[in-house]
Amino acid sequence: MTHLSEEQLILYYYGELASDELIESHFADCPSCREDYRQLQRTLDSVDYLTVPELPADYEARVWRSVQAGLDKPARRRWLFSWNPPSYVAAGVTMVLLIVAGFLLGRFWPVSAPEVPQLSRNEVRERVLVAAVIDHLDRSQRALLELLNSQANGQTDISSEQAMVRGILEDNRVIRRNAAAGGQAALADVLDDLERSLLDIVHSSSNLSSAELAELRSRLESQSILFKLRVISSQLKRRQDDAARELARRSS
Amino acid sequence: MVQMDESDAITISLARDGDDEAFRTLVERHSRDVFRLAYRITVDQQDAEDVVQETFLRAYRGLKRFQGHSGFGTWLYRIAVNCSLDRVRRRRPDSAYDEKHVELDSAPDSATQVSCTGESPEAALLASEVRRQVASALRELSPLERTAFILRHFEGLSIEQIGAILGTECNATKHSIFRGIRKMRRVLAPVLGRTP
Repeated sequence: MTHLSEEQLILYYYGELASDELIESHFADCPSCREDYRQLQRTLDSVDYLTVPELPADYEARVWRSVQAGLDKPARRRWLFSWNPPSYVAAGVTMVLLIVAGFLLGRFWPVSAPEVPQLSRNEVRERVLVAAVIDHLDRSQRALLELLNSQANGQTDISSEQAMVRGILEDNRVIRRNAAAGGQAALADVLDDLERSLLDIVHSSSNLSSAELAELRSRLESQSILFKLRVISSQLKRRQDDAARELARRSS
Repeated sequence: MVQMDESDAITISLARDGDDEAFRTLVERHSRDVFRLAYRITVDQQDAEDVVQETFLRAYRGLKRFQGHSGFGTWLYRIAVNCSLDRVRRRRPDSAYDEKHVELDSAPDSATQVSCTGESPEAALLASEVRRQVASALRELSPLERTAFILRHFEGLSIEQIGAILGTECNATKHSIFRGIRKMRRVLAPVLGRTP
């Protein structure tokens, strides 16, 4: 018997199929697909737990006030352009206004503008890179935790975890090479260790027995990779906070 | 989803002619829907409020270009989705879907559930954990997958309507939803039980 695909079950759940008959008659004969659907239903129903904050009774009026404040500028502009003289008169008046404005600006504009803290290109690049590395480390930790915490019941299918890890592995190679090229040896070392752990996961069989899963976990734990990731991640976060404080200090 | 009825059509026509009171009616009629959508995409109340304001400002400026082919709701949602995605992309990667924020938000709900439904503290705790995990699962989705999923699941839009909002073909829209759900199932499996 050909089982129903996950896609068919999803479309059935959302009532997107032209006819539900095929699915329902299949369910009648196939406990496995019924169970798959029950699991899918459970996941999708659980998403409804994500609630939206209650809004105050006068929310609409508040929104209008804030929108109206934003409409002020175009409204004034409309008033200005509602004056509709012949175009050559308007062009002449505009020219005179521009000349006068230019003269006044040149006369009264401060010679040196007040200093506004600016980030240099290198600082901006550094900030973006740090944020990207922190995100990568967080994703890696989540993926490893997922594997370390997965329940071993007989055969465990880790193909979805492996798919996630493959994506992380590609990013890891790029970030590790950049870190090494940028002289960040400590970070490059940790990423090197992480790469080995990720490769270990990717190269494992997708279906692991309880013993094999325990062995994989034990290898990952023995490398203390999670601990190393946490340490380097917290160091980077501290660096990020210091940079933010420095910028605030420069602006005050 | 926000629907355009006959009174919307009249109001839009007046607003397009510069009647601010008519535009106010549109803002008041649709702001809650737009907030709900923006909140689900950004999962941040402040961001969602900013998105609502930005959406209506963009709508005001673009009203003259609105031809009515796609329906006012679809048009407004398209603006709101773009504003929300801009917000999400502008954020630091690790600040999107702040789990602490979700937990704080969920606390009063759990308490309400206990007192209203007589749920045990364990059940309330589980609900709170599921909520936290759902937020975390949504975080795994790409912005496009997340938005397509939210529009399908919460807003009840058809694949065709979602494609019109996101500017994607029917198959690409479907696949964004499928991929999103697959990722969510994987992340939620430890909390809810067996994975597919």
